[in-house]
Amino acid sequence: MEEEKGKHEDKMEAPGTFVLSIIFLAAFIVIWFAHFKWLIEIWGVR
Amino acid sequence: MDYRICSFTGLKIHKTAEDLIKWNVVTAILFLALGGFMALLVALTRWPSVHYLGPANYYRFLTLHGFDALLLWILFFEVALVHFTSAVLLNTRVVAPFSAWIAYALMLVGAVFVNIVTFAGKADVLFTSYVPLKANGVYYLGVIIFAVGALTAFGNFFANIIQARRDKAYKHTLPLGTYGLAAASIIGVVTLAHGAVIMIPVFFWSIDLIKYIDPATYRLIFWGLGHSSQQINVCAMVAMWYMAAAFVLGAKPVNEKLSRTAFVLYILFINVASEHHLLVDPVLSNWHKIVNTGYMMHLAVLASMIHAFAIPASMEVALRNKGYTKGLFDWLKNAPWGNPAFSATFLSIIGFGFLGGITGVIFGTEQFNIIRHNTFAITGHFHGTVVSGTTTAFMGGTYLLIPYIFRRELVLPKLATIQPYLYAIGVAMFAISMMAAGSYGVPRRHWDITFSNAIFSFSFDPSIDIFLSMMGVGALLAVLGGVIFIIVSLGSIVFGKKTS
Amino acid sequence: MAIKEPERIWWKPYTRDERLWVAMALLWMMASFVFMPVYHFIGAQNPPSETYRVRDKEKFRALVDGMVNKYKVGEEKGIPIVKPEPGSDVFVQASMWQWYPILQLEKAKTYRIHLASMDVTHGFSIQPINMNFMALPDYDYVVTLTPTTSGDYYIVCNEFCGLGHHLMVGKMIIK
Repeated sequence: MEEEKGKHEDKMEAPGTFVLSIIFLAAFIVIWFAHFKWLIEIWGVR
Repeated sequence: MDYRICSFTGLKIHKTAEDLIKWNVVTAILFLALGGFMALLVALTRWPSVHYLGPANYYRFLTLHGFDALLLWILFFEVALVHFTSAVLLNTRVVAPFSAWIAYALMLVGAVFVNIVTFAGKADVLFTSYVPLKANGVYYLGVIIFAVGALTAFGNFFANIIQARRDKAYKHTLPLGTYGLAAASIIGVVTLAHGAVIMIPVFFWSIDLIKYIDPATYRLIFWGLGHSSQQINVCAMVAMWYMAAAFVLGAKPVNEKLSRTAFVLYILFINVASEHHLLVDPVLSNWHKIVNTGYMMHLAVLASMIHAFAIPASMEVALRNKGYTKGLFDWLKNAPWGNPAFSATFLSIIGFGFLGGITGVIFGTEQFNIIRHNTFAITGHFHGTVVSGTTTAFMGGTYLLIPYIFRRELVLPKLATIQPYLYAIGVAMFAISMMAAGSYGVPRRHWDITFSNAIFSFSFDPSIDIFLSMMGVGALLAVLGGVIFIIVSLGSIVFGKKTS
Repeated sequence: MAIKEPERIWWKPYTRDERLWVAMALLWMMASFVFMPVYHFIGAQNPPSETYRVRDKEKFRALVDGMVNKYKVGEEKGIPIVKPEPGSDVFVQASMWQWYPILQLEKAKTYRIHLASMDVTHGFSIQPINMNFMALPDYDYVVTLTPTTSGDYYIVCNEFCGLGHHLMVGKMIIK
């Protein structure tokens, strides 16, 4: 019983959604770095 | 007390709650129609080869577009959700029907004031009305009356849940949908307090009773109203996502603790984060900007990322329980894509995250704001959040409320099935095009980016013509989707077959 | 369900995918946040914050005129072109619907550009490099700028400032 409970907690409930979320995060990071590239191309400002 | 039992959901529906929801939803849809019509005119003007309106009308209709589509459609719908989540979901009553109707009347009167005075050309100040641009006093008065009405409506929410508790309509904690609207209502009160702090003095300034309003202070407090009110929208939208998942699929939140924590993050961190509108403004120090926009905003965004995982996850679990367990995406393939309430919800989650969310965090980063502030990319970003996200979610919500509250069947069900796709594709197309044009520096709120009559002639990179034309086509698609929504929803409400 | 009260015990432990996702989202948010203060020290492109109050608009106008008289090198379309000393204070006045004067700056030199509006709020948008700052009435916003590319640049107003908003274009020459 105890063992079964532990198992339940440690499984992926929604693996498909998890993969979709990773795709989202990857897109986020790529777009972020694109903006970083555009940022360092502008003039210096402070 | 006059109650009925909903044959679809088993919910006990109070007659007053039903009437309030009906009136607020219909008013919301009418203002969406008005705001959408302005959207068409404005989009046709910014499509360079069409350039439809003249400058005076462009700025005037842009003011109205912002007010009707962003504020009126969304807030009237949210007030409908206030009553739906407090009275209907808890199977209880609207405590103070009189004040709820007063709230509706005040909102309507304020809305009509603003529309008339703007249409008459006395308030060409755009949605933000940055002082010292001055509108006719009626404009500010209309905004104040509308805000008092909205504040009363949020007050109704708290009265309803307190009474529900006394009536033992719930034992320990609120359903998650109600919890989300509670977060929205709390943020609503804080937001409208900002509105009072700034709009009342500005009203007196507009009738010359106060001499001076500091422009930087105005911007700071205005965004305490203007941005935080977007967080009301996010809360209500997310609550709508959870409710749609529950109604359509019988989905259970995968973890109530996680979802509730995320709503609390919204309440705690969004208000000061509204300073990301002032990143390239004078006055505020860098550290002030970093703490308020950075620290606070990122925690609120974390909340959105939690919801954006939790809701599709709950759908996945529900569909897997129905037997779609093959591989990673069998559940997604077999989801009810033909049900507009479901497709609108799913498209709203995707659009809000990918179009509005990512760009929101990036443009709100102190340094990146230098290359995006006040460009068309900002317009693209908030159409990603508010149109692709909130409006699409509320369209899905309307498809649920029509059988549950209006007790009508959808007319033209085939058209209703394709509507969310048409709308979402159109919105995505124009939002992405706006962002692309904005990354080349095209300004927002600008009548003539060819600068044909300006003292210096300057041309942007020629590729912006492609982006702006794509924006025009996307806008047309979205308007078509919007028109279908209005025909189907109002048509069903008036002519739909009565459900037993 | 989100439409029903949850069962009594709803604070359940997180499953593996939940824990992983929240951890990854939190990490990325922290990275995105930490970038701001770090880049503030090591980066060359940061939003300025130096501000002075403009109590008397005429005084700011006088500073602009003084600079124009001292450094004027030409004129284009009736607007003077000024070539201030590198490192010096440069004053730019925004008004409906003009940027005044035209600046001629040297590449890779740093200038302290004071932005102030004489009437309503304007947006100081340098194109096509696409850098954007606000020009508010009653405030002097000091943008410390180091142009790194040469050519003709234009100042587009990107905050709505009345009916002639779209006519408000200025110029900046980098040599």
